Amino acid sequence: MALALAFLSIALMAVSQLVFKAASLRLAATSEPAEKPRGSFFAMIAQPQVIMALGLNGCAAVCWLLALSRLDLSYAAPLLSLNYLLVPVGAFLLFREKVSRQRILAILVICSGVLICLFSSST
Amino acid sequence: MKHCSDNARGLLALAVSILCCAASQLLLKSGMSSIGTLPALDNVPAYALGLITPPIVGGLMLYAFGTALWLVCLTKLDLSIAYPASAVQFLLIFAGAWYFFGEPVTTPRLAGAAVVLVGVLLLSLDRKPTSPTTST
Repeated sequence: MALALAFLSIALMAVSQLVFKAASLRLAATSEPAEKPRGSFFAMIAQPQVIMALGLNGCAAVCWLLALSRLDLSYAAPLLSLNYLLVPVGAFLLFREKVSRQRILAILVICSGVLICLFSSST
Repeated sequence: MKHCSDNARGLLALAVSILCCAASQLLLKSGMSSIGTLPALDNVPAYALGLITPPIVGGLMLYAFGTALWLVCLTKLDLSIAYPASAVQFLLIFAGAWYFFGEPVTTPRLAGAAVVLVGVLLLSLDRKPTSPTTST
């Protein structure tokens, strides 16, 4: 149950990043250069998709705290490194990003580095 | 040429966003640590008022600024580049926690940070940080 919450939290975090990307694509595509909310960061953040992504992030944080109340941090924290795999996979599937072999290698290296950091931080 | 400048702008936005988010974490940490004891959680207004201190409000504002820049960065760069690259935050937060709060730097932590750095360097060698769909 607690583990399921941890995985739910990680999935929500990954989805929120994908929603962020969708929001930025819309931002890049729909607005004319002249009417881009440049300088107005609040206008940028006030987009529905951005608010949704922030909301998903908040839900992820709540799930993570609930999971941590029942799991050891040393057990749960390394799971966070999964996001560095999930987000690029989602970007590849949803946005057809060209993920080269080198990029995959780089992502795996980063993932293992984060894993080492999280293992060492939580003990 | 346009691609070039778009990439450069995206990378700049990414770098500043990462800096802001790492700095916001450090500010929030210092703000929360210096609060001492908060009113009990059953008194929500008093609890919320207790949270309004310069480092906490500043940290949240920096976080919002970092999020906006993250969005700008994503209009220029692939998510599969920008998100893994944001792992550099780990290094910055470790460095800041060591410098400002005297948190210990352990060998495995340093090793992990070094591996992340190698990964990000590998990522930066990618010739095409933007897929066609994102460079509209």
